[in-house]
Amino acid sequence: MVDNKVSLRYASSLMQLAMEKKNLDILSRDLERIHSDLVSHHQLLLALQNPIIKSEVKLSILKEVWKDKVSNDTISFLELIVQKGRENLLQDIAAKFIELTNKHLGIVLVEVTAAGEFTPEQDKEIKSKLKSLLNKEVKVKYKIDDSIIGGFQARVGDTVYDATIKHQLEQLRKRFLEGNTLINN
Amino acid sequence: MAEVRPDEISAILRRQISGFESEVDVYDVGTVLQVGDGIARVYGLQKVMASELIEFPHDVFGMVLNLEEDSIGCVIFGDYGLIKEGDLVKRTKRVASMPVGKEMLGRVINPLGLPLDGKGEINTSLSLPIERKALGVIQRQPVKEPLFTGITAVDAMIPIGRGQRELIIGDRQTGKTAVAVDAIINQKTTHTEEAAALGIKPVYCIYVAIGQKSSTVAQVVAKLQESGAMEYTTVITASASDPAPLQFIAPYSGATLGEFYRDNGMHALVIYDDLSKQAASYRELSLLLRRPPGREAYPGDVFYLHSRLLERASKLSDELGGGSLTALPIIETQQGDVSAYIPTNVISITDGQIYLESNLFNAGVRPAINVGISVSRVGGNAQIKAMRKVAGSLKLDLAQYRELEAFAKFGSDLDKATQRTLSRGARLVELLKQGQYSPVPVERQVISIFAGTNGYLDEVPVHDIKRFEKELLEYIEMKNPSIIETIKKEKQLSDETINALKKVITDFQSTFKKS
Repeated sequence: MVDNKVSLRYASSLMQLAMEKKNLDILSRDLERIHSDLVSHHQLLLALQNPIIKSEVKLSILKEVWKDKVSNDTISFLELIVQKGRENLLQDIAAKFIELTNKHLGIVLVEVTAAGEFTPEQDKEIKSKLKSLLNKEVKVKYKIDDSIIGGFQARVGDTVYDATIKHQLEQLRKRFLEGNTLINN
Repeated sequence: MAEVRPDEISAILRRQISGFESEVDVYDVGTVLQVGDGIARVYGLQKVMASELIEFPHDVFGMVLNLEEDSIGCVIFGDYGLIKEGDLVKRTKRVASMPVGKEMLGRVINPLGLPLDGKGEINTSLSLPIERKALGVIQRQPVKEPLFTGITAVDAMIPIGRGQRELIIGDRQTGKTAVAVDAIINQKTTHTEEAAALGIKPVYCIYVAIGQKSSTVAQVVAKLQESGAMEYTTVITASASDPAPLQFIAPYSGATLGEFYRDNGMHALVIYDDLSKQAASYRELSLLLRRPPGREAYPGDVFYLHSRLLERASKLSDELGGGSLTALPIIETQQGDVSAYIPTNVISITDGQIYLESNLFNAGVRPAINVGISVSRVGGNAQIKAMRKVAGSLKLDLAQYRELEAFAKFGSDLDKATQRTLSRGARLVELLKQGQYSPVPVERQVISIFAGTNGYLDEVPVHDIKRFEKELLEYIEMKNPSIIETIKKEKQLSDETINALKKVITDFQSTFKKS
């Protein structure tokens, strides 16, 4: 909970700085990269979270990894968080920053789950449907899960648009149980 | 039973399935972060309402209690062992509610309105939220109709009116439940045609058992059934083995059911047995939800817990149908300590209390009501005139008796007046003794008290008082039943009635044989 607040604070100040300097696109690209690198390289994350490793060493590792790949502003941001001893939250901060940028640019992240791969036409159709439904730019992340049997499920934040066979079967089960359910209403 | 043919089953299934719409279903979800001890912490569910019902997997439901910055705390009404960390939780978009209606009469249900008596489904058409705001000033009117408990001591000196909240307080084993159950049984008279002719409206009863042994509840139900009181009574039970969330909401369910009668111009009596256990289960929930503990480890809002419940008892204005909801909360004290947190709270909320004492109980004064410290703050307005007339001197006589009682222990050398007061008092105390499950109609109570306060018992030995009373009533019923009828109808003691009473009692005195 506390970590959450801290990451939000760092992310939002970085965001403000980016908007002042008008380099939000560069920074957001940098942080997305940092985020994905941290996700794919678990070792790096562990190194950052390790309290035994000295902060100078951590900073040099970070610089080594991203020196030529990210902008100078990002490097100085990394320096700051290492200096403040918050490098263990780097992944969180990056995630929060991406979230904030998306919100600022009016982009919503939609997680679409399907039983199999989408064809390009389906992909296009679902994107335009979601766009018109949510009235916002959408960024779609696909997930494959064959337990849903068929159809698809789109999740935007806490709201789920469910058109899976699994859910329909569940609804049908409930329909049959009506009157015997635990809560009468 | 006729056999169901397979084609019939498939026809039913087909009909069910054909009516099934398979559109995209939109719902809000959250993820379980933590679960245990009947509570869960859920991440997400951004738009959830306080006290909304939420659905966990395996058809388990919960109710939202805490709304925090990025998580919610909720209680689980069911088997929390089925729920795991990471499970999805769905909103139902409706606040916790229970089905209400006259179909509930004669049934034993749990706080969510589900039958527990094995008599099958309850088909109600209406369902109301469990937590409702109490009515305001404009919708109410002062208590003015009496609600007779059938217990002479209560009806004479601590009268209860319809719409009142009267606390029954005492240690364990002092007969608190007995008083409440007697009150329910006595409402049977309000359901008779005779009562309807006299303009007395029926009172529907709700007995809410919180945190009690199931066997105790079964006993109460059996007793109610035996005395024919179950026909107009609903028993709501959250027994000691039910999870704390159910015990916590049980009284609110009772109030909701009672409000249904009240709002439809009917009268209801609800008994919360007992609120100390409800407070304890609320404390359990609150501590698990990490709300800060206060005095006796109860959370800060434990006063509000009871005040909002008892404030729902009310007498509606005539424009709203004049219905009423009377509440008889029960509180169990520890070693007679009424200055503990919960007892003081509830005493201050209610319109008076019936105080039961274990030393009185052990001395054979049953019901063990301490009439000295029991009060009813509003019921007096509802008392019938006849009773008010005779009860005034009863109160006075008993108060004097209590004052002098200590002297009586020394025994010797008391002046005539003191001796008279003492013997009168002892006879009145004897007169107020009453068996369990034997409510007395108010007109008979009036006659007994009349005989007591007018000195007709002074010559009767104390051990003969009950027999005297019984035989007197039988005698009047035989010789001059019109007196009973007149008091019942006129609800007051006219000079004529008084004279007739005096005459018949004097007549009886001469025939009474002392044992």
